[in-house]
Amino acid sequence: MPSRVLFDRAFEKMFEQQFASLFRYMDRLSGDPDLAADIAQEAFVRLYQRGAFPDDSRGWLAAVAGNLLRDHHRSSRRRLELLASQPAELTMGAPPLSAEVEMLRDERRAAVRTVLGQLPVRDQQLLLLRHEGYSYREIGTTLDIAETSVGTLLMRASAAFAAAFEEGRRASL
Amino acid sequence: LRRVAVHLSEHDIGSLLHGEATLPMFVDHLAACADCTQKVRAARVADRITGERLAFLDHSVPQVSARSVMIPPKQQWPLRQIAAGVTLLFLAVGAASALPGSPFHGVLVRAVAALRPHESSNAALSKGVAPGHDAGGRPDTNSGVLFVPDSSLDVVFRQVQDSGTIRVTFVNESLASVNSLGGSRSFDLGQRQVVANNAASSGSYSISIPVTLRRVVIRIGPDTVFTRAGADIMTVGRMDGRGSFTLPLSAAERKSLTTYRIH
Repeated sequence: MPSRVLFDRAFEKMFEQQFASLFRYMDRLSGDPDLAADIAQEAFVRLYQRGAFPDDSRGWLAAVAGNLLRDHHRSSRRRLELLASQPAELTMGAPPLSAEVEMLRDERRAAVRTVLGQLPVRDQQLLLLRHEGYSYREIGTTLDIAETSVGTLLMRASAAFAAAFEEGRRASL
Repeated sequence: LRRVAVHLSEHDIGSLLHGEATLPMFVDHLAACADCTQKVRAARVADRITGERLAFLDHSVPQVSARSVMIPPKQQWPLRQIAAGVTLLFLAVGAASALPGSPFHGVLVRAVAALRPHESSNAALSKGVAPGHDAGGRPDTNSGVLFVPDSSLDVVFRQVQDSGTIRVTFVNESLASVNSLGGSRSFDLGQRQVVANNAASSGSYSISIPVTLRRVVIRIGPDTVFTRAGADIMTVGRMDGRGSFTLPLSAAERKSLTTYRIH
């Protein structure tokens, strides 16, 4: 069987196994599901065009996706950024019945994103990769750090996340 | 022997917690050290809570097939070049047609889409209405207007719709555009105003606005749903990660008013 056919089959299998995970990582990191989908797909396009699998494909994909996200942020200099997102005194139009549920979910999501955003990007990536099931080796490949450092860095990132959450909770009381 | 005598490091606890190290490596020490046992327990609880909190960030995974990303390298560049060429051609035609139209007022009324072969664009311009009405007035075809705006711009949708959205994007260009995606095919254009005649429409719209245009108002019926005044933007829509805004045309789907700032 031609090697290209074998590669295609292996690629399809990898895509089925890894796309959702890569999308979730990017979605959590960027906060933008559309952008996350674009980047995850682009990372797989690049893997396919590479024509061969790297030693650590999962780490390679996450690293490429991370670079794509960074490039996106760099090129969006005139991007509009959130200044304030507070409930306004004026609400236009009657909200739908499910708005309360949606609002609660949005509030929780916003709270987590705020806390996560207080951490350095590398700590965010460490936490998100770890909770997406990436191994220390894959995390090391993705973030270009020594595998032996991952455990320590993760524990500190986790502690910083918990502390920031607790601080936010106290502040809101 | 060292493992029994020395307390577990952060790396050890992390490795144990994350399945990178096995319990037998530390079991002797943990059996003898209540302090480290407590640290491992606390770290496990914290790890679980962190995982639960991060899960709040999740959106549903889009359905994408592997075949859609299996693009051979040689096919990709020509496609990009063609797309870039079409975009440049489009902009060049738009800019060239703007010059003779209205150089003093800075506004050009120019329809760019949904032109029927037998319909004269000059006739449409003389009425101040973008071409695009078909005989039955069916709102099932894409259409739009492209123009050079004056110092401010009001975009007015005559009617609230039951569905559909308006996507607003700021662009680094001098041309503004309002495009209908299956919605109204009729627009009235003035110097500082575009009116979409969207009665009985259920389609969506996209609006591109030069980022240098510092005063913009978008209204749906009597409601103002988007304003830009200088660097400040207030809208009932939501901004995505690329800086575009999505505004629902349905009153029921509008969010509370949110303020953004252009940096």
